[in-house]
Amino acid sequence: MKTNKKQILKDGQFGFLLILPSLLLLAMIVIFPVIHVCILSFMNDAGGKFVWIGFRNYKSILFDDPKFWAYFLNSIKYVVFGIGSAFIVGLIVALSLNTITRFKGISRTIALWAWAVPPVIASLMWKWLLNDTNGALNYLLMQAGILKNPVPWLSLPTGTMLILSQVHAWTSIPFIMVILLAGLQTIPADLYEVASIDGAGSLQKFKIITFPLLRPSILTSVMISAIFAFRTFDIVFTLTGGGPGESTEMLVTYVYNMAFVFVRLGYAAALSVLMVIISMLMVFLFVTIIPTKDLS
Amino acid sequence: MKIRLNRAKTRSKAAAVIVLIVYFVFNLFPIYWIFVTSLKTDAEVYTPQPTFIPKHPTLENYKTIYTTRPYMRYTTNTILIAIGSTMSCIAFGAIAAYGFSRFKFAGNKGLRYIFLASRVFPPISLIIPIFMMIGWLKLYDTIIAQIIVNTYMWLPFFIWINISFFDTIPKEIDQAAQIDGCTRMQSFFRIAFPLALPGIAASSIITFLGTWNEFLYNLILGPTPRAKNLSVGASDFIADMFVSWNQMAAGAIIACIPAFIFVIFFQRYIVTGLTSGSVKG
Repeated sequence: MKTNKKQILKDGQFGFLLILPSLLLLAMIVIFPVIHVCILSFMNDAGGKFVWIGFRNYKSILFDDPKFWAYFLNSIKYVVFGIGSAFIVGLIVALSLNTITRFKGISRTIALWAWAVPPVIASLMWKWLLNDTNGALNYLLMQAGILKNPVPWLSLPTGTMLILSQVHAWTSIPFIMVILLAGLQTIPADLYEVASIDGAGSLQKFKIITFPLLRPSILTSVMISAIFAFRTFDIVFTLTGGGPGESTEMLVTYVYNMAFVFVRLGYAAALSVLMVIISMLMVFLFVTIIPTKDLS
Repeated sequence: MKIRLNRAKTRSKAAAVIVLIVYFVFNLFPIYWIFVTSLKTDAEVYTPQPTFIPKHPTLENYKTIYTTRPYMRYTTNTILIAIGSTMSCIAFGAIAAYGFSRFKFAGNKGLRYIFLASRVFPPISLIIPIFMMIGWLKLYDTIIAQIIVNTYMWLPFFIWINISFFDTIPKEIDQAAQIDGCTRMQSFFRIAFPLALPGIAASSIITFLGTWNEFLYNLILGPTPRAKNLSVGASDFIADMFVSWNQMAAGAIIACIPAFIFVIFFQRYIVTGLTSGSVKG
């Protein structure tokens, strides 16, 4: 009785009231900027004044700007090479962690460790390791007799992109590993025993049992880390700064340079909108691969 | 038959141990290397023959960065921004997640996806309008601006994963509380919130660390020591003409400290946060 008297609002209205503060906040710092960036993308701001120019920014980006396509390709390379190797290593480490019987807790903590390192710091660590004159990697490789002369890892004429993406991989292995390990732990052990009795080898067991049951975890972990790799700014900005030349410039650095170095805000806004569309397409691509029942 | 199975098991275990040892070296060596570099003297850093254990370990680099650079300021800024953003995510996010999880209203599902979609936007794509907005609000180069942008980046994540934590708490418990005379708000604060605390803790830790590590918006919206954080502060070293690697290393270690503490003591929460965030992501 008492409770009903106090309830002026219906349950649904009350629920909406609870999310209202977040909604207003988000409207201010996400929805409004999204609309604003879309409007800016149709404008030209040469000479400090914004003038409406319709789709001209988009037209010049897509048809007259070879840099856009080159940097887009670099972004794709970064995502594919970086997340590709992070996934392979993450899977192998997760399988190993799931196999051992002793020191499980401590092993998991150590395997997670790199996740805790801020991305910028990871990038600076590797910048120091890969340093051409005083770096540890060159020293170790020369001691081992693999290299004769120090290699300038971060200013190679080709292949710097590959090295950059591998530094990204180092930072995202732990996340993928955690998700895959959680997935592996849901697979009942009996399945493997039955398969062993039936004479299945390790590789067969992986193919018949592990891989199909792990599929949802694989797809979600790869999707999330791919989306995050695509937007990563701090690693490329500190590790190579887009260099040598323009060989590691990507869409993120292009937006940054356009907006804050060349101060062409309209053009940069159009690039931003294209980046959102590409991110959405990436999500869409993964979601269509994942059967809907796996999502819940 | 049994012996053969056991032998196969031992072999795969041995392989797993070898894989893990190799991975641990690969995982930990860069961190170890930056740590020993932070303890080295200039002479020991700039030799062609690096030492793996510092010959004359010293805390001089830490002292130098705190006395010759505004590192004290960066440290307090980072702490304030991380705590402020996490608090605002808890204040806004916990009740919103509860509202989404418990009450049916028009647009419940649609709004959930709007929140989720805002996390799909690459932060760089909103940097121009947010840069302009922060300018209009006269908040450029302030800690408040940093807290606002970090809330934008983490609130959707926070709400999204806490919806699933509230979903696991049976509705009957808060209904029972309401029959006992609690208002809906009281039943949230006294019953649901404490029960959801492990989930709130997990998402708060991830939000805290994510904010602590933020780089792009701090670089652009906080160009002077007034609002600069440790991530951007550490990257300043490589912009110098002569890069002081051992001082940079000391700055890097300082920036890593909270995350290392969390990984050691709250690993379970981090794993919960990461997995539940992605299962429904």
